[in-house]
Amino acid sequence: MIELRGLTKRFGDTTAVDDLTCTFRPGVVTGFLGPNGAGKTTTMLMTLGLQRPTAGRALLGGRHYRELPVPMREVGALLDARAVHHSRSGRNHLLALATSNGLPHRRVDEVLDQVGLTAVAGKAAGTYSLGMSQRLGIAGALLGDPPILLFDEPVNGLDPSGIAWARTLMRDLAAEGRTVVVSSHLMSEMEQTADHLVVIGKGRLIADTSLPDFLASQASAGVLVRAADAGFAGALRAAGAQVVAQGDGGLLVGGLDAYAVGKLALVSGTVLTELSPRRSSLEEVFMAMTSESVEFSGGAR
Amino acid sequence: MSVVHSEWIKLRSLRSVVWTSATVVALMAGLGALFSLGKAHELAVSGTAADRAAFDPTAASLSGILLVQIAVGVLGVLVVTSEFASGSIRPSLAAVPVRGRLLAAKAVAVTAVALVIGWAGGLAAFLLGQRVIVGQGLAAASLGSGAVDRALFGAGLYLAVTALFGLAVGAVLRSTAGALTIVIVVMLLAPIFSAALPAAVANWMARWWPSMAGLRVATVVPDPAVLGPWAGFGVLAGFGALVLAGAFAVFGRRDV
Ligand SMILES: Nc1ncnc2c1ncn2[C@@H]1O[C@H](COP(=O)(O)OP(=O)(O)OP(=O)(O)O)[C@@H](O)[C@H]1O
Ligand SMILES: [Mg+2]
Repeated sequence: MIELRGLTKRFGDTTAVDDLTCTFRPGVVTGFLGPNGAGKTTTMLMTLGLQRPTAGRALLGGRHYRELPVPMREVGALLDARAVHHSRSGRNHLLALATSNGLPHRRVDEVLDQVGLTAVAGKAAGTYSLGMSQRLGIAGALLGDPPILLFDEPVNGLDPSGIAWARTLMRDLAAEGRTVVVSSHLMSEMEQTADHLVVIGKGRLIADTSLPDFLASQASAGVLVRAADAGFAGALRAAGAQVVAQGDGGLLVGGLDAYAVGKLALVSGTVLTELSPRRSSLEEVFMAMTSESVEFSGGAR
Repeated sequence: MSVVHSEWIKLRSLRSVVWTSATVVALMAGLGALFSLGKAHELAVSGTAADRAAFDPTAASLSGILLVQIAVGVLGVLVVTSEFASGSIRPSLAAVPVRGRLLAAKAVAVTAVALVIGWAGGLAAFLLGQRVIVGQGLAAASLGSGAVDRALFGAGLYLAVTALFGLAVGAVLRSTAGALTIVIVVMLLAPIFSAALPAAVANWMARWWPSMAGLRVATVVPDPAVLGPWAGFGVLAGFGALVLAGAFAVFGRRDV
């Protein structure tokens, strides 16, 4: 469990994180979303005691990060995957980390195996591809088998099978009862990975809800209709619907649900070739919300 | 202790560190032989009785320390700045969030390397140098005399403080280039250029400039114009301790 209480960070006159209060709970994957510069990385750095908050605090199981006696046993973090001395081998990098926290050295081989880097563990980290670096970073986070995990853009640079692997890993870690926080730009990725979402924009909290609630909270985009009879749009409007003609001949209908549209087609004797409720994707909801946040905070447009 | 061990793993897992250390020991020995030859030959050919009396065979054989100190200072700098350059300072400090513990562990690891370089390189330089000096028909120093043993021991201490000075400057500046410049200016260039300064300033520097005073600990023949071996080393150690204290204060507070 991670609790952020009024967490604030200012760099000169930029407010990177603005009075952020929220809780990351155990047992679920929490997607930590926000556009570039929203303050995700800064929030994680403050949580890890690497940057000092201007105000507020971040508590891990009730304690500040610096008070954790064996930090790697309590919190694992992947920040910048490239942050490894380029001429040190992956294994030695992990060995130094494990040793600093008194973790048994067999953990190094275990996590290398878990992320699939055993074969290249002896090679200099500078020779790793971005995907391999991400795996090394994830291995470092897993070393202490911690109940809290923070991943800053972990799938950045992973190939499709790597993304699937990371997704399964995150879900498994959460299923074991751990607190798993994953920041990402890939909204589609979050849609398949996260149970819960914390969305920030310009450092401020925009949403803190479960994934289904988050999607439902946004007005549904309507019903997509394709009719054989071109006059059907008029019939829909007459019935009180808003109709937007799509470029491909489809009609995006608002104000009537699929049942009402189907019934109207039956009454007017029109054949429908498509009738599908359109749910907004996370991507669209996210875009809509964060663009609002830019307006709220007076960002120049 | 585990943090020191971790820093030790970081050091020995860089091939460049291992090679540089080995090279530096050889360099110190080689330079010791060369400087001893140069100095002893000059004395044998044209030295006056007073020159011979002032000749310090131990110090002559250890004079490679002037160059070796730069390599050791660089090592001290890199132990910190390489972590900032690669960004690995973040995982390192996430693993050891008590900042002072990480810096202290780095200090212990780099001090150990500097001491080994200073003692091994110093002993090799001394033994080679004395052979060369005897070969030139001059009286050489020998191990077992208190002052000679202290000078050899002191060579290691001098390099240890140099490494710590590099580490401290690295921790404050975080950039390799900036920290290196300061180490080279303070340890090497200032002493060299002091000779070109007005006599009063040059004499003051010979007595009090940290690196010049500190080097007295690696000499045997007393020189009334400057500080004694331990007083001189005390000046260097005090200076090093001040800079290091500043580094701990800054490193402990700053965002990374
Ligand atoms: N050390 C710093 N000095 C000055 N400004 C900073 C610093 N670190 C971050 N910022 C600013 O704070 C804001 C938040 O940055 P942050 O890196 O936390 O965003 P982010 O959500 O992680 O973005 P991204 O998705 O691009 O990684 C940005 O406007 C950034 O320019
Ligand atoms: Mg970021």
